[in-house]
Amino acid sequence: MPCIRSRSSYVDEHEPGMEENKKMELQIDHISKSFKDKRAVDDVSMTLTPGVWGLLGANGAGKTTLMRMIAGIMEPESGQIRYDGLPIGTLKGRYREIFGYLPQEFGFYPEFTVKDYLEYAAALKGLPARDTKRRIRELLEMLSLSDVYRKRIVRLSGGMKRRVGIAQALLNEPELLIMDEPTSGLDPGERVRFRNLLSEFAKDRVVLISTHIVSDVEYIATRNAVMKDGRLIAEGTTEELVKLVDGKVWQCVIPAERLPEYERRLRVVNLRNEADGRVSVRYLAESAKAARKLYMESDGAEENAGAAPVPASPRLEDLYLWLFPQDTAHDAAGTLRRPGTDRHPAAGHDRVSGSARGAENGGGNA
Amino acid sequence: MRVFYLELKRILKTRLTWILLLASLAMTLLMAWLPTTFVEVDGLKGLAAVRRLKDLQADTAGEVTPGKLEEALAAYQQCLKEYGAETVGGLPDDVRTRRILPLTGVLHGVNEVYADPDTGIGRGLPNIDPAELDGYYDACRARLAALMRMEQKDHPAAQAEAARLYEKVETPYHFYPGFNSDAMDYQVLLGFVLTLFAAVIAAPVFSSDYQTGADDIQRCMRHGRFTLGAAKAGAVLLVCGAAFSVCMALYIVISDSLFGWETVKTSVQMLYSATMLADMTVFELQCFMAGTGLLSLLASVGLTVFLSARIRTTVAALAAALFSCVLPVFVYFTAPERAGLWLRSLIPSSGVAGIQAGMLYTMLDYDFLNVGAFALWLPKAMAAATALELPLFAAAGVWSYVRHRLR
Repeated sequence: MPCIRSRSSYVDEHEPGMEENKKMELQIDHISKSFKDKRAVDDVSMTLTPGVWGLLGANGAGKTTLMRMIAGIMEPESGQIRYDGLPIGTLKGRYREIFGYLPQEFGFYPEFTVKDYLEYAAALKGLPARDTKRRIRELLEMLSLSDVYRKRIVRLSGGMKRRVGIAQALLNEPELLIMDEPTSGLDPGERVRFRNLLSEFAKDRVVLISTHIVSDVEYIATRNAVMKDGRLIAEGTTEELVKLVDGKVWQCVIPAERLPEYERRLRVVNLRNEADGRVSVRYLAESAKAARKLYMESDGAEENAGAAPVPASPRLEDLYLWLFPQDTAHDAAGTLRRPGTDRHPAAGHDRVSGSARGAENGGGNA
Repeated sequence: MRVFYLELKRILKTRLTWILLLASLAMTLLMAWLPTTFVEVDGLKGLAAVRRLKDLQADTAGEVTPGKLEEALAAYQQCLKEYGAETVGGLPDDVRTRRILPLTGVLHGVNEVYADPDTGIGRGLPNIDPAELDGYYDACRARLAALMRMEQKDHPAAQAEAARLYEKVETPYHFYPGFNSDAMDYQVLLGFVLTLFAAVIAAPVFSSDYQTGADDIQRCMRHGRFTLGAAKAGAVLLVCGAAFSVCMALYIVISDSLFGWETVKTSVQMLYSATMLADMTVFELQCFMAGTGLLSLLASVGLTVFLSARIRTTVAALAAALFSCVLPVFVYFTAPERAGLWLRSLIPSSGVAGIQAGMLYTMLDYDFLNVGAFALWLPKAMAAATALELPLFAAAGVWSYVRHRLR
């Protein structure tokens, strides 16, 4: 990705501190925040180093609150956030200079065109006027926004608006990039392009993405952090994290008529119609015994019981669903993402599980 | 400076701003023209009536000397005597037009000045001896003293201050026929309307960013706090101030062109009370009203900016801003006298808040802020307060924006 200027030029040479201890390390130290009777973030500590960090968690897990505190727009109740050893509150403008942020709700002025908005944001970010046009042009091309450059943002589709939001966050080539649900509203192609862009961008930068679309971070995240009820419950590389559900992911092929029983009694992650009227089921179970219980309860005939369950190699999504079982149990309205519903080429139609109906994300992992 | 320029551009690109600026212009043209339609003389209306009035009163134009007053009152009384009428109501219409109307302009303050010093009740022009008018300006001073004894009975400092202010008033007065005080009232009304428009433009300046979430992004940018806050406050003050200045200048130019530029050389004492404390011509009063109106509008916008920085929704900020604009009117009619005066002097929009509570009628009045042996004429207090409030509220607004945190 082309650079306007070296990142070090964003830091005032006369101001000591950040430049002297350049490690690009964001230390989150025992941060807590409450709203009335809810503990939104509860004693979270972690150190973000260069690379892409995936922040996973269900809705209400505290991801957005944590990100707002990192962005400096919300004050923690206790604890401290430091960048390269210095509290972000004392760094003030120098912190914001190396910072890029895309909140969950992308607010903009309704009268602004994409051009107006990016020029306005570039001025606020302190980009020199001579570099602004070039940088905006690069980002527009990168994010396929060149055709809507002069259109008012309010008239753009949700995905395009999101891309404008991403563009503003990247304008100043931030050392520290925080994005809250950056891929919501993007179509699958756009999400793949965004992931690739981010991977390249994050080579020597700290990037934190919050999402509950696991596939967005599964392939690109250097490390992941998982939040639940305001607490950080797991942290590690994707490989390290998926080990937590090693031996808990199973798959089998069953007659279609047995599917309701499987859905009722097991935590089904994914379904796929097979050509012969059978269904391939991927599900979570605590132990091999629990995983085989339903199979063992049948009469054992292949046509009635299907194939015996076999362990499947776990993925980050399995871990997510293991940690947040409500996402598989309460998804009927389609407002939450489905765990994974595949379309088999031979079947010619989608088979959507009753517990995970109507969402569009996360497929391809049966 | 670049942020300021872009913010200015943003405000000017907002549809609501354009609609309100165009509406301001339309209101200015309409309100400058309307007062001419109220003039009726000798069966004529509008500008023709203004011209007829000027012709009729042409002989009395110029310095208002005691001799000229004496002569005019004698002619007035002679006319009544000839027709055996006790008042002008008893005269035939054409006689009233030909012989009385030419004199009424120059005799404007006589009945008031020679009123009973204890009761303030006028004796009526037929009952004043023309010879008394020889000491007209001494009588003006005496009338003011009597008035102040009634109005500021317990405040000798206020009485002395009024006398001191009146000593500065240039005498003899000047009178040039044709101007109509409705034009001044409409200038005040225009100022009030422009202030309401400015409140609508300024109310969303910060609150809409909070409401839409744009603030979350901007606040994380290098210049997204103090620089942006100052640019936003500065830009909205500039837009509203420039719009007000242009509209007021346009109003004065149109109004004075319609009524005649010579008419505004008239002393304000020949248009309002003969003992008015301001040493001004009508034109100077127009400019003073425009200047203090601008200060008041800017202070009101400053207050609106502050409210916008404190309130999280645009509708609530707008409601608060509009309420602050009409607050002086409520205070004028409801607050106890002494507290009301202090409040009116402190509320930023007092200078432009309608007819009765606004600066013009405050200047026609004899209200003082009294603190022990110190007395300050209310219009001066209002102007001084707005001059202080403008930077105070604007700075408080920027500070509130910079300190704004989600809790």
